[in-house]
Amino acid sequence: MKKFNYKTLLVCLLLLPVVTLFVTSCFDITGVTQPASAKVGETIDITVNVNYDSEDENQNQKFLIFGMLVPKSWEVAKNATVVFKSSIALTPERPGSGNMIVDPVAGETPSFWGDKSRGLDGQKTGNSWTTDMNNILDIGENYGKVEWVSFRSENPIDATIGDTTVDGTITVTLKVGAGHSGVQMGYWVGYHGNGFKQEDPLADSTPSAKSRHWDSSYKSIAITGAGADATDLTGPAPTSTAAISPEGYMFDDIITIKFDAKEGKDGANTALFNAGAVNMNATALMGDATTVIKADRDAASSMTLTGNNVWELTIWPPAYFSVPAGNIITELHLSFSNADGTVLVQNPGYSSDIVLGTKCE
Amino acid sequence: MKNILFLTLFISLAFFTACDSEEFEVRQDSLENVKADVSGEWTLFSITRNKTDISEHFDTSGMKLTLSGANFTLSSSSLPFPTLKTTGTAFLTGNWAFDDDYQPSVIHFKGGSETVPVNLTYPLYGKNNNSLGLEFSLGCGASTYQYQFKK
Repeated sequence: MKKFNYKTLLVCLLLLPVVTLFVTSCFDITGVTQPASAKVGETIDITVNVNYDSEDENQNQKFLIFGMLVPKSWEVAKNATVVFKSSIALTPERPGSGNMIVDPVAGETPSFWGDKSRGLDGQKTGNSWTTDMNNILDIGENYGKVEWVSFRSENPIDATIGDTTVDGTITVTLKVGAGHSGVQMGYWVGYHGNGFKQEDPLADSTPSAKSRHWDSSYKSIAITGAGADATDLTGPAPTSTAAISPEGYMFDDIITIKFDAKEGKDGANTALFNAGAVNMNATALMGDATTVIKADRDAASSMTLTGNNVWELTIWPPAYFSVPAGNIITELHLSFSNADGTVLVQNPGYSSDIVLGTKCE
Repeated sequence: MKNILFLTLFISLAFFTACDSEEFEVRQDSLENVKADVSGEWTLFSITRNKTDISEHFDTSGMKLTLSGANFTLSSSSLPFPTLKTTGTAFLTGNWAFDDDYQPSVIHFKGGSETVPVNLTYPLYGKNNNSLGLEFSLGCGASTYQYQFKK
């Protein structure tokens, strides 16, 4: 028979208050200071203002958890530093300010209690914070290619501060990566004890339900110098339904617009598959923000079948759209229709035209 | 004695060669400095984009370039031309000049304060030119166009 270990019992009894007193507490993101635009390669600082209401919880072992929604190509887990500051300064071992470390067990099963995420019901999920952030939280207005990256305070915080409200900041320093001309970044703040717990997990089972245990905020940023192939993650996802050649072009070039009727949503055919005739409907967005629309299915907009359900039209945009002197075309918004206009194909998966900008390095 | 023999042989060969009376017809403009003459009305015959012929997509005959003295005129703005880019001040008429009147490789089109240099794709004769080839970019420098005009 195994001998009863009184030391283990003593340790468990001592830790019991720490474990069971994780009842409530309130986090609010009161502001995000983020540059409106940044250049690829530039190092930027982002400050997230957080208001913390202890709600008389009085915990002395509280890990602050912070999440960021960023483009995957930026590799923020490797490139960002995060620090937090608050007026809490009870013990040097459990400070109210300090560094935050990137989730050390992202994608793995955590063993350390501070790395164990809690789901919408407030219970441990067995996942890391990073895994649950990507499972539970939405990705804002981005169409994809973004990820949540989580950080936690390096040390637990002594938050035995009574029923007190504290204002603090979380400051992120990161290097702007390549690949995208725009993204909506996201921020999440909470603590390990409640995780993603909602106010009433039975009544509100969606991540967007209001919770006082955590808060999130989203803010867009424009990226300059991202290259010709860069995509705006807040715009419609790139599609191969329509493309423009040659490889490098501005809208003073002679361009060939290709429409592939086989490239519909999720690999399906478009509604113009095997159509007898296809016309291009085009709106030119001008430099002065005005538009010129050519969508009357006239002879000039009639496309030529050049392959298996592949249609092409070669135009010189300034003449095609009768661009007035002193103006330029900045974008083309395209859709395609059959001869009588009863079938219309836009960006698959979206109720909007396919948007194509210039591409020239 | 041997020297006299070689001298006699050399003189004989020299006279023998001199007897050759064959005549070559040489173009006059290759011996004289004659300015390349391209005056007249030129009609666009073909368009290539990055060496691919795309003439079929346009009514090339609708584009005529008239070079008269130092002046030029384009007949149409419905086809692209280096002077018609929307990123600059487009002009259909103006002045023109070669970079070198005798062996030109670039033709400069001038309209107002704008000067647009355009490369010639092949050399020109002093007279009787019946083809004029231009090479240029329109918007993106990565894409090049060749226009062939004919009289």
